[in-house]
Amino acid sequence: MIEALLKGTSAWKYWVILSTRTQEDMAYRANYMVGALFRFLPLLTTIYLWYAVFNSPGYAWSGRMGKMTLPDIVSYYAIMFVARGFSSMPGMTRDISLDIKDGLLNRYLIRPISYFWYQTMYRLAHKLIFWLAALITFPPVFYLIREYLKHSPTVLEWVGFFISLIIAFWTGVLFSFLIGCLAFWFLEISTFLFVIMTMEFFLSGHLIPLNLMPSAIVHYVQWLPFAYEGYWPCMILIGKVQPDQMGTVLGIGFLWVGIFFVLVKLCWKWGTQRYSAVGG
Amino acid sequence: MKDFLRYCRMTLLMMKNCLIREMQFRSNFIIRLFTEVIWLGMQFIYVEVLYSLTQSIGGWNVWEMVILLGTNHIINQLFEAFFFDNCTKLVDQIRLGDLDFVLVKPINSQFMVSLRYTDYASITNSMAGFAMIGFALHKLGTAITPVEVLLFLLLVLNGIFILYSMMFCLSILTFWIGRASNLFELYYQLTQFTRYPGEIYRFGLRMVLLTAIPMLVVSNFPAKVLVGGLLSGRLFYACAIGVSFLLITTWLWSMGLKRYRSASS
Amino acid sequence: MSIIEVENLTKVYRVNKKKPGIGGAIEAMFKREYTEVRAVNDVSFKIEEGELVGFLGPNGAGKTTTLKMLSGILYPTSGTAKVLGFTPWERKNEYRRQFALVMGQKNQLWWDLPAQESLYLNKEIYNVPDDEYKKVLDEMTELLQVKKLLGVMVRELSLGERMKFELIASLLHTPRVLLLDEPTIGLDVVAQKNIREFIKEYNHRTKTTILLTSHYMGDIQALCDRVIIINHGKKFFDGGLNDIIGKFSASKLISLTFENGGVSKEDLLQFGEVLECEKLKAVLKVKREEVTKVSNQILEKWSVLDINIEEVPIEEIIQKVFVSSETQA
Repeated sequence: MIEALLKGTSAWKYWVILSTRTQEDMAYRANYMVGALFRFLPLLTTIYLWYAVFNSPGYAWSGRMGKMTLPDIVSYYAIMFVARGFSSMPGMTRDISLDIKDGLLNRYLIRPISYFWYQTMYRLAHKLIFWLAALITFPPVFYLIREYLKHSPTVLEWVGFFISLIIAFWTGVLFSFLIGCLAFWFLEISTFLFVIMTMEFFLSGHLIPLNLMPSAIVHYVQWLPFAYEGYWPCMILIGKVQPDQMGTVLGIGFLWVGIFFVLVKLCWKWGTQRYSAVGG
Repeated sequence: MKDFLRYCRMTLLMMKNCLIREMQFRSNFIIRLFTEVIWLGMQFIYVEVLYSLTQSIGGWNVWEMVILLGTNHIINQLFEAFFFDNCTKLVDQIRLGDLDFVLVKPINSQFMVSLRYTDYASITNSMAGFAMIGFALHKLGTAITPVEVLLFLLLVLNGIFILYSMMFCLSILTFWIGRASNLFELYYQLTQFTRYPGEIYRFGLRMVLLTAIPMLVVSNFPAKVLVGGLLSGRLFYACAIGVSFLLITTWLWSMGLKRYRSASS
Repeated sequence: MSIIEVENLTKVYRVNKKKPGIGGAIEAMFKREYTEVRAVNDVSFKIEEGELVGFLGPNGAGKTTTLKMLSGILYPTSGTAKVLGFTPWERKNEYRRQFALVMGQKNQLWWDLPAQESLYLNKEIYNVPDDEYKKVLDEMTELLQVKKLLGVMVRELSLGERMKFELIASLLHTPRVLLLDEPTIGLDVVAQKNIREFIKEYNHRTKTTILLTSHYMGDIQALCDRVIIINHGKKFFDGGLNDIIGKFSASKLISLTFENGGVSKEDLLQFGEVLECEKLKAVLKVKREEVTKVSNQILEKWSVLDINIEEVPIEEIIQKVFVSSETQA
């Protein structure tokens, strides 16, 4: 049905890319399901770890950080999976940098297709599969930890959450694309990518909720684009963002997406100029 | 014995080759070291946040936790130094038919594919783990006997072999199920369990982590030697687990080779 | 006992099928269909010590699969093989020490290292004594003229040079049986010739048994007295190179040079197939048994400066053989 709708339009070729990619992924079914299920293991260790903290003999919530209860923390880490499911783009930077380095980019430059949109569709296909599998794997996990999911979000929080997921996806795609473009200027970026990934892991609040860190750090870190890849969607849904703050939080997120869009356009323009000048 | 020496010589030779190779890409060393320091720094912050709320987690105080962190770091880095790349490369070697030359040589094929590449940056990175442990021991004011050091090193080695066995088995599942890149993710997720004290897990899970997926044997056991509290029974148990996992690996490898298809280019 | 004995060797692969489109992908997640491919089908042959035998066939004929079973890389589906008295796929070290495999499409040298490091590693793997290693290495690098390149990174070598080092790496332990899979693939004419000459010389000098696959007729013609032709996994022919001509070629070629012009294609058609017909020259393809009769008739009819009778080029015959086996299959 979608095919009939899209045929003839310019979106058609992107649909073909998307479906080809999807088929490729499905062909390796066992591999895929295993990956999708075991991704939840860190959640298990995290719950156990925090449970041990909250139930240790000398436990007292330190005054220097925002108050979080055990249910808050567990919900935070659980929702983090959903948020990262939108924002993380595994392998994207690497693929782009290799395309540039190995001269494979020529294949795209000579075709009537935008490389950026090609990559975006490709990732969207990835995400589609991810969420298809998630429909099977997420509910049982959330059911198992249901006693920790205490907060029932308001309508505003749900809306804010969905908007923040859109921001999360675009931040992920645009940032990964930008970093990949560095290959236009630097020969070897694979190790550098690792540094970036590690930073992203930390600054998105994936490792520790950002508000638990010393307030001097939180103050700046929470407004970086990385916070929109995980921290903010989680905080919104566990009810830690007040209604009057919601506008600011989402507004700054969109601002970052806008800035990234411009940067991607510029980088691509300069990069491809350099690319054709050097000869790939 | 003669064979053993020959295999040692081969190992050194391959390590030498990798060193020559790696000299060409020196800048990698520095960046890798930098990444590891960032990573460790993040772990420290995590530990700091946790222990700002309490004195002890699962009976481990903050410096004991740092020892566990350091031990885990050493084991993971040394595993990466010698085996990780080889295991990941193995998947493509099996898929694309690049095992051919390994199979025609008069030498144990598992040995060849497992030790072919050495990642030197990881060896240097493991030093950070030793430094962490030293610092934590100093803070705790514990004195360590030479026997304890030896036992610690033995169990570290044992842990590396267990990680190797698990990763190797996951890699060679490629013989049966085609591309298995997601299985590496499984490996990554499983190693999560090596990071924290076993005491925080519930009884059932703890039993699994001590037997079928012996992640606690990997890091908790060696750390316990330094923290105090490792009984000799556990020591034998750890080594028995290590040896039996290696045996399973060898068996699975020989089964897998029967299914090798040697895809032509 | 022959040095290589192959009996009813068969290798069947299962290949899975997938229907096109997303629907097909979803279907494949639950239900998979397989087709069987008989890569090698009931092949038998014997090779004596010191022979240099060519294994000929188009792409996908099963040559490489057979070679891989003989080197123990693949397990056969059924059938037996003995090389040097060993069953290859048992992978005994005594066996692996006595043969070598060279593949034109895969490399065993370390990409980022000088070739000599890979060679030295092989010396250790095969336990070659120091003095012998030195001797063999000297001899080989001399013969192949690559002595100066020992210290060059493998990735910087040309394809031909890399192939030479591949050969050396495989011959360090002086194997008794050498299996060569497409050793000249992708090489330029000069490099091809070099490699061929080396193989011939090596076989001559050391009496090593060599089994060589190729789909270049040139390789086979230059090197082998005996060929085994295989197509679609089945053995098709086994015998001397010259016997192919007798068996598969029913015609000969007659080349003519006339003194005066005016001989037209139509004039010649009565004698046989006209391959070429210019002003003064013509080439005719004539049935073997009619050659004498036809040439006499031509010589009577026209004044001929030069007449030459030759066999149809072997390449063409083989091609015909492949095509005819195609239609049979």
